[in-house]
Amino acid sequence: MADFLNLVRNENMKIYYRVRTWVMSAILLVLPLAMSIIGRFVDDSPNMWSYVMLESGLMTMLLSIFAVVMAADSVAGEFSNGTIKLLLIRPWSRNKILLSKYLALLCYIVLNLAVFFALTLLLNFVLFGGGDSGSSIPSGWSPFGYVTAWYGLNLIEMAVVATMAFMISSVFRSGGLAIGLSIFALLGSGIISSLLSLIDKPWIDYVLFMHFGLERYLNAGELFRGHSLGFSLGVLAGYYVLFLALSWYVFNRRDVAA
Amino acid sequence: MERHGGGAEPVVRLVNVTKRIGKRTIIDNLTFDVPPGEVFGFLGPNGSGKTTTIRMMVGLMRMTSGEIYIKGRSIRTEFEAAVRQVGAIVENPEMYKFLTGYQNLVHYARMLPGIGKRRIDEVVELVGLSDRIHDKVKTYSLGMRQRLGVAQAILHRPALLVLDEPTNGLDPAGIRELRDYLRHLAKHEGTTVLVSSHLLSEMELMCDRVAIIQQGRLVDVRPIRRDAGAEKLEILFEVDRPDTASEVLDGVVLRTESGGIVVTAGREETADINARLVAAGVRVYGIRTVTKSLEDQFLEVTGGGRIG
Repeated sequence: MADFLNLVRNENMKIYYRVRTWVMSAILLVLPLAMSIIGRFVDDSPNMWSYVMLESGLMTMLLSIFAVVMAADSVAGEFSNGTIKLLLIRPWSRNKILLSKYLALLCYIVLNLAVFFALTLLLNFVLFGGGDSGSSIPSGWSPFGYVTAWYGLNLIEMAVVATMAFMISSVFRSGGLAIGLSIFALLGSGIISSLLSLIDKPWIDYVLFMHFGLERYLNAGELFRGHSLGFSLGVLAGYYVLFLALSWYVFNRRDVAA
Repeated sequence: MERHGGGAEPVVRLVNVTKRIGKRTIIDNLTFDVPPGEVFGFLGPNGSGKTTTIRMMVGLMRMTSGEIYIKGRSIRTEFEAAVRQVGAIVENPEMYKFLTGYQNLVHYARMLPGIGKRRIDEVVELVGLSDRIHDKVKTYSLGMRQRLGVAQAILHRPALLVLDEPTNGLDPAGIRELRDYLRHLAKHEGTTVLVSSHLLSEMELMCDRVAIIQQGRLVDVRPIRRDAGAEKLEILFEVDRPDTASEVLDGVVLRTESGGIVVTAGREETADINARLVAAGVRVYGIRTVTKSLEDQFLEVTGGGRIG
């Protein structure tokens, strides 16, 4: 087991010894800082929770993109640099090597999200104080409870999108394709789901795009096509398992030829 | 198949290895053994299947049928145990460019049991990279990357070192250094080295034995002669009057060429023949062996080297 952790350490090394990673994280730190500080001076009636939600919305979007970039590069990058050959001729099964990559990716996402969650709460509490949440938090929720649930659902979505990118990266060995398709799924899901809604067929309830934007379930009474949160989570879980199965199956069988 | 004496277990054993991609047969029923402690060359024209075979040997590609054993362990069914014995560079030594050379070695050391900092330092010293090991790999020259490639391959003291086209892109000094180093490994550490190349002259200098393959089939496995003194070779005498010389030697002469005669002779006989020629007043300008180079042998067995 300790040996396997070495593989994860290796993958972490490949993530955190790159300048790129730190540039992304710096953006994630600087942007909310700037938004809150500017808000502190120009906003007439500032409210901690509205800034928390505003920044969180923007930053989770950015972090999703960064996570997709990481996931896409994780396997495809090793292929395009040729380093995959030296990685796979070690006394480790391909299953475990892929697992170490996947775990390192999940750690990156969770770590960034956790740091950002703490940062935005602390920052805005310091600048604006606690106080009334106004209209930024739906009624019936404590502000902290709502934000926590909101982050939880976003983490799930991010994991699904990153896993999709990881799968495309592993199956097609193309980082560009993985980034492109995943970001398209991320940003285009709203448009696609409203287009699909025009087709009144039962199968569209099982299309992946219909189930992004989980946080809308937090606003009670805004049920989408009559789905419950549980149903959406179930569908996402189905796709998640499918993505993982495809990644592992193809990676295990692949002839490393180039 | 060729049997190697001494009863030593072959380090690599290929048994009826076949690889088909679609309808094309890339490797066709390849069977040969690599005996321990040798530098074993794997020779063939471009596209003959050298790299494919090597990739199957280290588990990067699957065999369609057949079996490869490394020290008796099947690469198919006991991958981890088999590949533990192997260090390799497959084609170019590609490293993580954004990491330093040292970090790259740490990366590979972590994947193998029992390799500490001391061994890493030892290997760095051995390949002569001490001065630059803490620089990022992207600043390395090709020769330095090759050395780093060798370093990662020998970290765990493998019984078998596999190098695919190791001299590609190296300058003559680098090639020379690599060659000396491989011979050193085979001789003093008992490492079996398997090198593939299409550079015949290189293989001739580097290897104890070569397997020649063409279009995925084994053409021949043959030892390379190193000590010319023990056996009879074709010797060319450059002389002023070949006809006279051939009369003087009477029957020993193999053929007469313009400006010289060719005889078959051992070391001592060569000196005798020279003395007889000089005694007969024939002027001898030069004596040299006309060994068939591996290149000639190679072209001979592959029938001119069609590219398949």
